[in-house]
Amino acid sequence: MKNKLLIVLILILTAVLFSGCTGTGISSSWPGITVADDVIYASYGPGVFAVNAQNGTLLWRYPEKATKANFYAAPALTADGQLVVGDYTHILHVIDAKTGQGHEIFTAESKWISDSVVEDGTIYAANADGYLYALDLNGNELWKYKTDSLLWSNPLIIESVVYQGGMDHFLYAIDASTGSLIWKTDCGGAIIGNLVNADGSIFLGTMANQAIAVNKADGKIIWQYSSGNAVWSGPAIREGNIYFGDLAGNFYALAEADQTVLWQYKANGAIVGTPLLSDDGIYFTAEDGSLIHLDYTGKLLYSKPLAEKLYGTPVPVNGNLLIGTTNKDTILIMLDGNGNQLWVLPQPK
Amino acid sequence: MWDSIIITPFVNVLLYIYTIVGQNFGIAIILFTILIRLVTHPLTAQQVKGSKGMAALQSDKRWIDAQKKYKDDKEKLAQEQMALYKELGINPFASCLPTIIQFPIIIGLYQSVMLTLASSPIEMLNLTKHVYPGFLSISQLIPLNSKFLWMNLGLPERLHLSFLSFGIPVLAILVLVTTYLQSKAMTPPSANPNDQSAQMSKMMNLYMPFLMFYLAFTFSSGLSLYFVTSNIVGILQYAALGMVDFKKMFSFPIFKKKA
Repeated sequence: MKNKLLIVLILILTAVLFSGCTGTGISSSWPGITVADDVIYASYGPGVFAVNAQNGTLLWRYPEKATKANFYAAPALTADGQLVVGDYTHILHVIDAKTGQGHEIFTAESKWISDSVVEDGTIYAANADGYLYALDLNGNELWKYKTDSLLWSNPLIIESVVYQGGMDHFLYAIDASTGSLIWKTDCGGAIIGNLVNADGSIFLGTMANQAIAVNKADGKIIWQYSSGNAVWSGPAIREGNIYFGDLAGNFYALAEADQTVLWQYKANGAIVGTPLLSDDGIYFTAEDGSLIHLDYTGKLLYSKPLAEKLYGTPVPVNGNLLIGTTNKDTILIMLDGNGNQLWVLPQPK
Repeated sequence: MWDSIIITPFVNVLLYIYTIVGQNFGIAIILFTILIRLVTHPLTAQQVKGSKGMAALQSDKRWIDAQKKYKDDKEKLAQEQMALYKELGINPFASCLPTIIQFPIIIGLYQSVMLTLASSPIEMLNLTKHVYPGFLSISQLIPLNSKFLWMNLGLPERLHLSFLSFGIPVLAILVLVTTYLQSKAMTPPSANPNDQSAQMSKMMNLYMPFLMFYLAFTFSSGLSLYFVTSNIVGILQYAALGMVDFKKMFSFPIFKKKA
């Protein structure tokens, strides 16, 4: 009897040891956030959570009880109040934004890491299986486009064209109604983070250490700037200047006209998210867990340690600032305009 | 410390092999596992030597007699055991010390494979931190080609055949079989099959393959590939050290009984 118990304990210990090392679970990514009508919809780990933006009260969670599904993509809100969100078990869900009741509509071959987009009743969803899918709201496939590698970047839809960055180094422009390729451009490195829309251009970052502007019309590269380190997310633009960070923690302000460096700021950790450019300055997060606020001359207004690690883009909500964290016990932190904490959403049990 | 001494060098060697074998991650995992097992072969040899000594002790008449004689006096039995260790030139730690030293290497190997198969954003960020910038170019490495034969090494493996409605977990089955065979190869013959440690070994040999099957069934196939390679190389190492009785290894008690 003693022997059997010992063997069971050894086996359990082995299983725990191995599964503990696989890197799956809550820390695979950071929260995906969508805000509409004073309600925040956040995907993080075992669920999608609807939260009152005023006071941080949890309104509902989907699914009600934790399952094997892990959600990190930001839910896309449809015109009729449905949320579309994919999980890491390859399933795409539709959830009623009011009640939190949802169901599965489509299964792909791999994880849904990128955020889905809904436009004119069509879901555009990029999967890590390499396909960009166009689906109706019931999950029926309208078309799919195969790329040569994983898709983690969000689709960007502008005037009936879907722009999709791929790990295969290509930026694709695809006809939104037919799924046929308009053009594709080799950007020299994997495109992982968000694409950013600017007048006539798509801005993006590559793992080949570059921030790039691509002409929307023909896919030609307009300019590229080498930062010396991988650029995860696309740059943001304001009044002719471009702002972005790299994985070494360097934050750049460039003049769009000639890409000269106007100023540079060094953070204490990788900068992953696209910066938020607001009237009172620039906000971005760094991997050391700090929220950094600069003015447009590069002067530090504050650097606030908020979490163990921060990766996402700060989200403006009614004059406040919402931060998604990768803390074990906290999902969201809401700050006022001065950076003071208003409320936090703890990880629901 | 663990990262800089074990994980980072392992990841870089694994990725270096990946680049020189034409960006085939499956072959890189196989070669890397073989390389690590070869590097740690002296430890395995020492472990085998220690196990042989312990097995010799178990069948030594003086030890069997001492066990009977001092069955109620544990202190005296321990003294007799130490005296026999000395006389037979056995170091009782010779078999377990190499295992203890190898254990972190095996865990490091496993963690490196998992880290390199980065299949989520934070795992990818972690991977970029573990690549030596002057040694490998992350921009050339990403995306990692995780396809090997019919498998995506970042996902659990199933072989889908047109006439079957479900996928066959081929690698998980191979993990089960090779783990069982390796356990049999590694277990030295016991003088008394009914003693406590022999019974425990027997049960572990039965249960462990099923646990490994479950892990292989559930986790990325890259990990299963590592398990299978590691088991096969382990069996070959033991065979090279004269520890494997292939006849015994492929004999199954359940079939014997029926015959």
